[in-house]
Amino acid sequence: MLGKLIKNEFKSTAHSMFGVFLAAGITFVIMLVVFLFKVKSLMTLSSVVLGAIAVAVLVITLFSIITMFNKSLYGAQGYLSFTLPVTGKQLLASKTIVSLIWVSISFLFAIAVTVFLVVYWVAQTSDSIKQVVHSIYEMLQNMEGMPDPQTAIKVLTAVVVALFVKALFLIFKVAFSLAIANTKPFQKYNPIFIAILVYIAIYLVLTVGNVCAAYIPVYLAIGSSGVGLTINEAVIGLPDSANIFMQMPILGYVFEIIVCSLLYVATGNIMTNHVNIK
Amino acid sequence: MALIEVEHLSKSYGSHKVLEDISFAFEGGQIIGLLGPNGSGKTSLIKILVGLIKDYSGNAFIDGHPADPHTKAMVAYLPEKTYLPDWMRCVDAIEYFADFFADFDKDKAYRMLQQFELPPKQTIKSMSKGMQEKLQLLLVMCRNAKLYILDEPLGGVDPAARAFILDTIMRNHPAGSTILLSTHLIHDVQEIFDSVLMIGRGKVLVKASVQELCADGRTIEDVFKEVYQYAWQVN
Repeated sequence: MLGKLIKNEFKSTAHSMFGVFLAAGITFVIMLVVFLFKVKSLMTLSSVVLGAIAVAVLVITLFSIITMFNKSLYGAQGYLSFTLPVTGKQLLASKTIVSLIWVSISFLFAIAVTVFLVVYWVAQTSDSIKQVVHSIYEMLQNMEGMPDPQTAIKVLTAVVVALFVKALFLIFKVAFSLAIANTKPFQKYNPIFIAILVYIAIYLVLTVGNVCAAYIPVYLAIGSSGVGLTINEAVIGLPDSANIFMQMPILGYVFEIIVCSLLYVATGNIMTNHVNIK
Repeated sequence: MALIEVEHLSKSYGSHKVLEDISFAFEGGQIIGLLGPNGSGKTSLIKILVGLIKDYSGNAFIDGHPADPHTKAMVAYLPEKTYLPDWMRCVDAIEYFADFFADFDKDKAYRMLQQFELPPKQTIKSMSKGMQEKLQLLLVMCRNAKLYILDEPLGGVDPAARAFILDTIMRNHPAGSTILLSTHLIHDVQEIFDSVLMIGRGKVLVKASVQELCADGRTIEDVFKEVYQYAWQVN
């Protein structure tokens, strides 16, 4: 059933995302035409439009996630969602997975647009694609503090995992806030207003938690010779001579993963046992 | 074991008690009329049975289970509201039901789509309310469910549409299945019921078979008028 829920959630959200990706595709084609025919007056404008669309994709993704949880569970569509032969946790899991897929697509799209715009502008001053690639490679090599490719992959992996945790955390905060807003004590109030208040409350509590975690100086250290930990000034798991390129406050992420798990269990429980559909 | 069993069920909205310690049970294989004027708690009772309301006291069982995936798989529920997402087309809605309900008859759904003259590729958003209601009725009646729970399917439609809806329900429910149909329009439907449950002011006012109720030549409508006039006077 989870697979069927995911398939149908994806179909449902694709409708709200389709328009913005279509606009991006059209802008992309226009930019290529502008580039091929050297219409210089439109180059800046089309680049700004594509950049704006990349931002719009991120905003619309967030809006779609909120709508997916709010409208399809607690609006009229809830009459269908909550009478399907599935559990509350399956409904929550399917929406979380689809939300993560859209967040990933949106982030990849934003990164692709950024890379494309860099290439596009470098290409204005180059004669061939080979020269463009060479110019960008040289630009990257000359940047100060750039790690070697192997370390760069480790840093990139750590950043992707960190973004994944942040995205998951955001989704669960939205899901939990909306679920609370649709339980008996809060049903006489506007659910969006209550959800925003709950969201702010969670944010404040977690900020305190993160600040406390920051006082414990344990970091994930990524260096040229591997990955280790730094506690205070001491480095564990890396040779003393290793160059450390990145340090991540790992306790904050551990704290967020624990809270994510708690929010998932609590939201699933509220959806199964406490939510009333108006 | 009774198919529908309610024990000491209470539900209130703030200080207003809609259902107050009600208990009843119905065996399967019959058509049950859930009767009562507007605001008598019919929809609340149905929403508890199908699992849309969870803050109540007492027990509400279908086939011995509280609302859970087991009961949801055997109950075909038609709410008063239009619940399909507006981007869906008729074909999408049929595929959706076929995905989730093992008892859904897809071939029958496509046949009924033609009979109901519903355009397969028209979106819900662009349909009239009447068309949306027809589609929802089609989806529910294309399930071979053990229990059909139909909340005011005749409300807000003209007499010709009422006849069409009743005809669709009667022709399409499988033999041996149970229908719980809520309505306040007794006149149009009284002849289809095997049993009735009349509720009002939070209480069960009448629970009886039609045979018992009409033994002295009265119609269900006569009993309804008597009961509610009485109930309203004493409360």
